[in-house]
Amino acid sequence: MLIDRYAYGNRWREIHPVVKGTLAGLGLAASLAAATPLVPLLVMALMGGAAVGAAGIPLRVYLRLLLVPAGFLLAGVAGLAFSCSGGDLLIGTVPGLQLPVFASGAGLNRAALVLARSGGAVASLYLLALTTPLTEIVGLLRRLKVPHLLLELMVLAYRQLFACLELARDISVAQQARLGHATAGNRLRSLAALGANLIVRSQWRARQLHRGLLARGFEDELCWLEPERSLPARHLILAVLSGGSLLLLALLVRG
Amino acid sequence: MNAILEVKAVDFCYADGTPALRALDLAFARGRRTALLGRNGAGKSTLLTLLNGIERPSRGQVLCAGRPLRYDRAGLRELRRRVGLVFQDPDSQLFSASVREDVSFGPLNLGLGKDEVRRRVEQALATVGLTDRAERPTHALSYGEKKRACLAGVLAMDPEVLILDEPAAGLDPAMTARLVPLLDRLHDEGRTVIVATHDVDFAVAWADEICVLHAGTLAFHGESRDHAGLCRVLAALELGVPVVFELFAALQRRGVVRGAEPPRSRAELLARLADPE
Ligand SMILES: Nc1ncnc2c1ncn2[C@@H]1O[C@H](COP(=O)(O)OP(=O)(O)OP(=O)(O)O)[C@@H](O)[C@H]1O
Ligand SMILES: [Mg+2]
Repeated sequence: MLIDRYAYGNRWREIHPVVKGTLAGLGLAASLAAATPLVPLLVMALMGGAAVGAAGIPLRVYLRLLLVPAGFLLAGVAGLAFSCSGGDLLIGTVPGLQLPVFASGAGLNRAALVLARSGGAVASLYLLALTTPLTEIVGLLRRLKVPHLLLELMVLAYRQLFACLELARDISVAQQARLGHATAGNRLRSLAALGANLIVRSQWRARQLHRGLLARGFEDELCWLEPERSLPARHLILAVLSGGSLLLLALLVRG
Repeated sequence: MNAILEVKAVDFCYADGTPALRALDLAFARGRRTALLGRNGAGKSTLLTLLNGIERPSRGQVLCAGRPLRYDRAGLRELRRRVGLVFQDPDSQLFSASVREDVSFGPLNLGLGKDEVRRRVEQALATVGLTDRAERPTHALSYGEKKRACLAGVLAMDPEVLILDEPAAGLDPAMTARLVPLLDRLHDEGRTVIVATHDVDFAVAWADEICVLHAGTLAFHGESRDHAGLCRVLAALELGVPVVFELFAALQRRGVVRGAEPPRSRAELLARLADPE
């Protein structure tokens, strides 16, 4: 889990989550409010600069992580940019289907805007996710009065995700150690066994975990302490100023 | 005897029908150190979960301080405030994202104030030597560190009775060596400590009393000083006879050491060898 590793080991780790949350939130708002691609691009630059330059996330890792949403985005945006039912410019036909493909200035503009806005939004959220461990994000959400049940689910899902991954890796290693991956047939059989056992074992784990919680007096609400971090006014002002000016710019520059 | 925890004529079957305990009668004396021995599957872990009210006996009774357990909300809360259980498998206990949070879970459930919780959490972390790992996610700990985090999670609740299921399994020699003084300190502070273990050497060196389970029944319950009775049971059940007892017997035959009472630990044996009188 790449994100998790950097969340725990980056130069912004000690910065109060409220500061990072404010910056990311304002960046997100500015990107979504923007009417032109300009502001979202600025947001991307700011967030990327903060993540790579200030927090020390390696550029290669950062770009690789960006590729994930970029794939989805490009596929989605293609539908906005090109159309088969008419437009300014015929750019070709779908081979074999005799279907014409058009591009239009308006379509391209819209696509660029959507792409930029999403990019800004993703960069904002990445800044938070890459510099803040889940526990602190949950603490932040609690301050924002997100329902407790939702937060509990987040934490348990997070823990279970790792437990499940660990389990899958253990089972797979155990299978390999006994020649489970030696031939294609073995591999298929091993995979089937892995899938079946993962479900059963995960349920078992969940039940054991529940017993563990009960033993420490769990009744119906999970509670835990959050780490204490100092919140220097300087940081908060800086976050509000930089994020806020972008938001202001987004609201001023209309088309 | 003043029993803090007691099982009376207890039978226990798991949901799938596996019988784990049969007609078990056993009392744990208040303020004593008890070691629970037994082969794999003898029912040690099962017994411990009954004592904490996680499982209910199929037949018979579990008593705490002379009163039968009540399995309602208030009864269980009271029981778990008094009786802390550290599980054998650390993954069934750790659920939070970070170690410090996980340790804070129990004391918060006790309804303590934030400052008191914080104080207890830091103290428990220091006790198990995990202060510098407090911010780590629980899934990024080694097995031994996980075991220690679990222990801290229960220590922070400051229970009157401390039950540990194989606490030394997976610990390195240094941490294992530190476990004994830690358990002794907890005992000296007035707590009852019950430890399930496979380490017979540890059991005779540390415990006041030893219980041996076999196939869900009680095979031996006595003072750890009762080495003759204990050795007979341990040998019969192939649990292994404590090394100090064997060495002592051999040295006694050669006339190197004297005395009828065998030493209980390696240190004690060495001390006697150095100073025969
Ligand atoms: N969840 C379960 N469902 C069904 N049977 C179980 C379950 N847990 C344990 N058992 C069975 O109950 C018996 C007692 O198990 P228990 O875990 O109490 O043994 P133990 O003495 O702790 O062993 P070990 O030394 O291996 O930890 C065993 O026969 C075991 O197979
Ligand atoms: Mg066990």
